[in-house]
Amino acid sequence: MRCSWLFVFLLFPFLPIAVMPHLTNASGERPNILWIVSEDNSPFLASYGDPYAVTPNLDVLAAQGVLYTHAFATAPVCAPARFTLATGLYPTTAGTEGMRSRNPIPDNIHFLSSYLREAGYYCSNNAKEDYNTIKPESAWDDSSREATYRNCGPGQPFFHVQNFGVTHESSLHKGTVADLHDPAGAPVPPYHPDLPEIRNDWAVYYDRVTELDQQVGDFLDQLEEDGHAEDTIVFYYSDHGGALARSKRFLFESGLRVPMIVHFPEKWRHLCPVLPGSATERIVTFADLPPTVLSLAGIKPPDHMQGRAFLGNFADGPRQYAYSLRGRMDERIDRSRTVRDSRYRYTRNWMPHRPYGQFIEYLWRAPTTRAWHEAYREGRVTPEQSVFFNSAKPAEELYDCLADPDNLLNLAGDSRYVGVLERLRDALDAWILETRDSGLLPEGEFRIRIKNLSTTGYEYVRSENYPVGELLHAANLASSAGMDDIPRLMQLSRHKDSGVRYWVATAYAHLDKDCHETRDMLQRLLHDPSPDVSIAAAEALYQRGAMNGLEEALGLALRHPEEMVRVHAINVLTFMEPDFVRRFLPMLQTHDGEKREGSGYDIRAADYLLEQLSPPTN
Amino acid sequence: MRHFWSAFTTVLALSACSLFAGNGQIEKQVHASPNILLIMVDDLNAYVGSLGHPNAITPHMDRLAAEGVLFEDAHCQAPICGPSRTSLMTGLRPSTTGVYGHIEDNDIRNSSEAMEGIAFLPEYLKEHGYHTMGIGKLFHKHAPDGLLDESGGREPGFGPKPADGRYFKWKGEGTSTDWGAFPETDEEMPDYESAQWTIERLSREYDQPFFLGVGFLRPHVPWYVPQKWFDLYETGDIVTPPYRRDDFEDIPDIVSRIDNLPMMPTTEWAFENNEWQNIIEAYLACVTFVDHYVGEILKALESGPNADNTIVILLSDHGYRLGEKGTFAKHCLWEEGTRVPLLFRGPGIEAGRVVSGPVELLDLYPTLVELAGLEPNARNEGESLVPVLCGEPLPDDATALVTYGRNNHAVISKDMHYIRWEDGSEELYDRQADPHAFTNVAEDPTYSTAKAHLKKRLPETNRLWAPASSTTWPEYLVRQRKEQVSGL
Repeated sequence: MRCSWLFVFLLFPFLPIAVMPHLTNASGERPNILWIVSEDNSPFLASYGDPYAVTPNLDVLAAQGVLYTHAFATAPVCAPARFTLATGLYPTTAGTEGMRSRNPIPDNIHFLSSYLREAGYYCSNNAKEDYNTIKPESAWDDSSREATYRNCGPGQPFFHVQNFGVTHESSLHKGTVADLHDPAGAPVPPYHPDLPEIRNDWAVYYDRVTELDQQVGDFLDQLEEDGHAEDTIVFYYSDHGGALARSKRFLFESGLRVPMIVHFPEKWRHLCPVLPGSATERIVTFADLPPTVLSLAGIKPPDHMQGRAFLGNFADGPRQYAYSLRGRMDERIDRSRTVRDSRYRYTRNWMPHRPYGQFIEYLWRAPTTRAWHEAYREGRVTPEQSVFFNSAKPAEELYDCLADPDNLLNLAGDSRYVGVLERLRDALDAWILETRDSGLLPEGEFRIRIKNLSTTGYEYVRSENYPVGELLHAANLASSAGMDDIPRLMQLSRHKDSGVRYWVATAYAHLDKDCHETRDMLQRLLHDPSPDVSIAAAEALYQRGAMNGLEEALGLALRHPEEMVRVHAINVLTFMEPDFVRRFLPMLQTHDGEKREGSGYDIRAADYLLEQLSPPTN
Repeated sequence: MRHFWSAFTTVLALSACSLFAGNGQIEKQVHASPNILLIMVDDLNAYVGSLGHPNAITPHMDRLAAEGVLFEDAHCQAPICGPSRTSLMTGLRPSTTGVYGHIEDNDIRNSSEAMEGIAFLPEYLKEHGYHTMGIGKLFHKHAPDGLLDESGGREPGFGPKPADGRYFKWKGEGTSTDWGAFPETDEEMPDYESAQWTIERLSREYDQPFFLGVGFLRPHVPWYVPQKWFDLYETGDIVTPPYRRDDFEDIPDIVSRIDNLPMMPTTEWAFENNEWQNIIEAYLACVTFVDHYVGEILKALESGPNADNTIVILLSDHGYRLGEKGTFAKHCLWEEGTRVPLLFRGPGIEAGRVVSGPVELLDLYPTLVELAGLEPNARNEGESLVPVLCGEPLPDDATALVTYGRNNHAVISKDMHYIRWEDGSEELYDRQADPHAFTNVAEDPTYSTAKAHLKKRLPETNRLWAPASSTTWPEYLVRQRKEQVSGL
């Protein structure tokens, strides 16, 4: 400080009046709200302390706004994450956690933009939708490649969503060579082997982030030229983390933590929750974004929205926990839930018998995934680089994200962390029960039920017919089951809900127990009226070499009219020996047969299976 | 000869330690009790290099930590000077004595029934053969009359100020908060005088073991020290602490009434006026100024006749917020207000040990009594830290209790920071996951066991305000005192 007496009398301080800024605008004016949404990128921004990133435009936005260091996607993949962004609901509360799916939501649950339109906002989306449900008619004034805030009426506030696709995972599929970023300096994380393909992918991806930054800069320049810079609160975030293997689609920090910056123009600066230009550790998730936008627009968020507003008139206290989920990814089935507090991440894997790195056609398009997998098969990786492809994963994971941001060291078995683990486990279970997690049923079974009942997933899980508590108990029990739990499992194998019986069968995919009683029970489940129970029992029986009836049961499942039943059966076949799988060739060779109804995930899954079967052609 | 004596002392002290660790009883020491040099720094928070502050220049305190034991999670018993110092000098909690506010040094002894027959820390040492000396701010002003064998007194106030009521940046009713380079030279500062007096006392030889207390005034406001101390810092490099405007959304209403300090600059004001870094720089300049004279005192000790048998303790009376939680003030039960540096160095004390669990300033009295080899004072409410100083681990369930006004308490454990206000409302923070205490989890059922455990550590008695202690703000506590005093 260079203080001179000359200044003393010029610097009479303002009398401090109030610590808290007023959270209302006296004139009743409403701000425009702009969402700038990028795809698949983790916080690879210089303003997040990433020295490899070149992101001058987003850094300026952060330098004048607020940077959220603890912002999380509700799902690590586009469509389920975007479901939350559109509705304020967790996808697991409406049967929309599978990537992708089209289960509808009830008519009385509107999109965020519908509420804004009712309140007089002009709402436009350019252009990606991918909501994982059926978009209501009322959603947008315009949702297209031409959509722009410029079409708002005179004096009409707008809510505009501008999606930039340049950082999408597919930017790694083009065989591009890094340009701006030198692969030699790429921050290859310790879970990736240091291979030229992987270094190049990292560098290419940072190139794409810089390109995104330029596009954002241009767009904000345009906003200013259009005279809206001073009326518009700008959000920037990415739709989940990514995009190299073991980030997007996975419940690690790399898949869930997103960049999020909110910028307030001078007029709305008092709404900034920190001093402009600083960061906040407040935990926010995608579930909080729709209520926050409504709150900023002066609209009370409807009760069904499951997050809490973090800005504006209806702002709530901070959340203690951020919850996220992983369901089916394209053709590959898995189910996990996770909770993050400001330091620790706890994850529950309900299908520990499946590896993290199951083959997903789209994920394998990236050079990184292929090079890593090849190195793994050839034994050219370290133990921590092997975990992703190993044949099973733990039922529970616990990471200290402060000490271990890459989530390499699972503390779930460490007695020093029992207190933390139990607290987070309780918090996760409480969330699952409260939101009535729809992913506790196999997806095929779930679809069959809502179709038979002519209802929506959202309404079904809220009905008395959905025994969420018993399903959760069964899923937790099944994933962690040991020999002591066998009596309980035997008891539950006769439970009236097929979902509970399904979890019992999955427990035997990893339980090392074989005896007459076990086989009799699994045989009974093989002939269960629910095809998903039958498929899970088939896998367990197969592992015990008890082949009686398997071919018939799996054959039935492969011909089932519900696509997700077929996908389930093909997933199970993927973990069986080729000689056995060949018996199903006619049913798998869909290309030659009739085109099946559905999104084609069964076809993708079958294609991979066939590829594994086919001997090198002469 | 000198070398021999040094080795001899160390052996004796170490054997005392190991005996203690063995059976919980300290042997009556045959050799002379150690001298005690107590350095009290006013309003010094954790902005110290060895406590991890990125800017603080504190080489001498850091050296003391490296050569002794640093308690990195020590807490005061009250987050303002008078009651904190009363507590550590009497060995009693504020909730026991009713001294929640400031109090004249001479009034402490008769302030409440709980004080009856109490011996102040230097007094207890004196009764057991110590020669007691002190200068500067030891109690709220200096020390009760006649307490010390040799008193250097204290210059009234907090050092020189610009003439005619002028100031640099801030004028607030009832606070001398302001910051700037002033006066011209160190020699004009009372702390300089205190250091010289202490250095002179350390050069003497004594027939008895001595207690020597020096109470530095900085970094208490005003944050004035000569320009050369500012020159050590680059304003632009000063790191401002995290602050959230939305921080108070989840805390009880009573906090807005108790944490109501309109005479202080707010974080908003400091930010808007580009003064935040300047304030922290001024505070740190004051800290470095004091650190320098701590170094001078240590040098005098080490080159003098008392080098080998003197235990050095450095502590502060409470923390200070420098923009954390919205203001620039002490006066709070959050960690910024309660956490203090606490360092011990000397014969028998482990070198370079950092103790990370919570301890209390209240522990100072019984610790010094035990280090002096004296019979414990049964009136002490704290616990002796001697086992920890000798290498024992601190119990995992240790807690610190801090009291602000009557029946407002913080209970701090290794993992949690619990606050219970007199109206029953609560705050609870997860110190590991949320070190800045931004998210109140008091209502979160996943923490109910942890909360119940901390709740048991609240004091059983909450004595009404001792009439002799008082406060001028916040308004809420002024009224609380008034009601209780008039109701007597």
